[in-house]
Amino acid sequence: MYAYSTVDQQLVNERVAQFRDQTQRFLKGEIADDEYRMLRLMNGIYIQRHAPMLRVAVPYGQMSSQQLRALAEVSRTYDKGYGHFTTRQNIQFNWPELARIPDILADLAQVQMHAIQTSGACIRSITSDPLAGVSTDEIADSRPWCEIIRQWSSLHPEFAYLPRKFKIAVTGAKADRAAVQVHDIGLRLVHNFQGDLGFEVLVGGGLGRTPMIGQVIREFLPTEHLLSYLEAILRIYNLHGRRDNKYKARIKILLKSMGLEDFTQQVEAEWQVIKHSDLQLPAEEIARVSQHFGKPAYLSLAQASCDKVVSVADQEYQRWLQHNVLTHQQPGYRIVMVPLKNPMSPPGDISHQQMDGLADLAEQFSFGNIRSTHDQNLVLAHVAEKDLYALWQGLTELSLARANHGTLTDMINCPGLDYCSLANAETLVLSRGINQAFDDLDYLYDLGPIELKISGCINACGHHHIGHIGILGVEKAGQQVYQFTLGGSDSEAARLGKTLGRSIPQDQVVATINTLLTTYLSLRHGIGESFSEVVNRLGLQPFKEAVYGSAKQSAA
Amino acid sequence: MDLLNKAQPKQVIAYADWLAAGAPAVAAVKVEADVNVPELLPLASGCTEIQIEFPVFADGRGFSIARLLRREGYTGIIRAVGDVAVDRVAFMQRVGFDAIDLKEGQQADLIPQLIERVQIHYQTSSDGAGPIYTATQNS
Repeated sequence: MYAYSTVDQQLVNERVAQFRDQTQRFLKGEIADDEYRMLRLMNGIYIQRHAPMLRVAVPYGQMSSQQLRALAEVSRTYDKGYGHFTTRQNIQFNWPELARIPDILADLAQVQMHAIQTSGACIRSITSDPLAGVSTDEIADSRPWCEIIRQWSSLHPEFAYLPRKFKIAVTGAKADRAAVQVHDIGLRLVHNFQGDLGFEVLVGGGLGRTPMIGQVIREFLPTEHLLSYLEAILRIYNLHGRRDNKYKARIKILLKSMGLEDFTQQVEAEWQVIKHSDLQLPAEEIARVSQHFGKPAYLSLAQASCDKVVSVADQEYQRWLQHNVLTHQQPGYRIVMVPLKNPMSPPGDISHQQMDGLADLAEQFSFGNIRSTHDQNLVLAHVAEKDLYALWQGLTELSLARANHGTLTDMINCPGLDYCSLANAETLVLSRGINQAFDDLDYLYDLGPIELKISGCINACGHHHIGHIGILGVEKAGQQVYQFTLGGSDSEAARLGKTLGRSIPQDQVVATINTLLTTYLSLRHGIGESFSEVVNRLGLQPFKEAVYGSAKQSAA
Repeated sequence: MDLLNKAQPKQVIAYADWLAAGAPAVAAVKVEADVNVPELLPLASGCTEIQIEFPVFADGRGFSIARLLRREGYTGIIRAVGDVAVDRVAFMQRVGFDAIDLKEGQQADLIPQLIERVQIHYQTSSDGAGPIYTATQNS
């Protein structure tokens, strides 16, 4: 993974000093509340329901064992001994004291981590495919490009006060594991007809209040023009994005009001002016960054593989092998998914003991590399087959070997009303209830792949619009109720789910999910037809009838 | 540091009035954040100073307006006016502002250290430094 140059380190150190000074001046009353709010947000600090929350960047989901240990140490020293991985691959600490946050950032700077632009109306930390460099469907490794974007966007003087937050995601694979279609800018690495590498550029995707799928504004952008093209998009957005209404300030609204053609024309015109400026990436810089993402020192197939280990006759192990372990680019190696979906704690939560333990396992079995995913799990990306059984035993001891990857209980969940000051409804009570009701793994396997995504408010941090089953918590007349959507998808062709019907009271949510599942089981053409395929084939009507009774009662 | 000490122009004319008068050569023109930038750029050389209004501190349009004026070759003074605070001066200077009118209650004496505090600039801007990868230091 990328290792800082002296310049990168100096920038992060300077940013810590800058934020320390801003915080001290704020605490002395020298910076007004509303202005400090903006400054702290640009450094990942929210003031939440109970305490400040610090969101630390995990750039494009890549961590070293050393960094994961540093995060564990932060959670012990400054917080309550755990962290929470988010849907944008970052990690949050929910209980730090504001005056000590500069110290946390100074500690993190020592292991090349920061909280730069993890929040605020600026270019947010870059997200990507957690399987970059190891997946079998890869076109090209997305990580060098993510790092190049990270550097260009960090403390960009022109784009620090945008109309609204701005999220960029990059993928280099055929399958979309980075949700690039629901980002302000989504970049897909592609080859053109001549075999040159470039990007397909999508703009205007996003969830929240007005969910939209991104549109392609350029089918092929040569890689050396990446930064000039991004700069052109950001400049048009900064000048023309709405500033009068924060709910209409995202680039998706600008794109819609200008129209795809007009918007694209303006971006292209600006790009023509700057494409041959010094924003054009020199081959040496691309090579310099890329060399950080070379293959680790893999063992030969004969040394790495071991049939005996793969065939250990332990049912729990076999389940894990079948569901949490994926094929790898490198013969003899596997990708191991580590779900952070403990039934007793919120999705994405991880304790300091688990962080330390996983850092050790990664060092022992995965070249000291850990990745975070947008569905709030972790990944050990380079595990030799001969080590799988030992790794499984280690993960089991840490309670990180639950074999539910890709099943109903591998759900995405925002923290909801228990933590977040924006939320309208609790979400963690739902995930607990769902985990209790659906604890039979064989039943979960029989249900097949189901993406359940839950948000506690319309801001959609839980990505409910793109869940096969989406649940949105809302408040109606003092009651917490939940709107269901079906048929969403974040796969190659992303789709927004459609509303099932009127909202469901909190105590009936689990029963409603059960009704949806039994309806699916009764309708599917065998186990090969997934939940989302049945919804696509038959629409929502049979599910509406099952949940609400006759059709006329199901009006939203 | 003469960001704060650029002499105030004798007269400032609002952009709309200036346009209506046929964009004559004047001491200073004040533009709002929603100014039509493509319209402004070819006319800008006619004035000694352009003032860009920041209606609220969170409104960042002025950063792009200044950047585009400099790219167009405008060499006069670009002054930030309105809701302007010391914590944005470093970025303002980088995109091309060379005069700053701080709002009330600001500690102007902090500005030199606030500008100095972050010395690494990854990107190019109107400061002409070039992106970091064109410098030899990043190895």
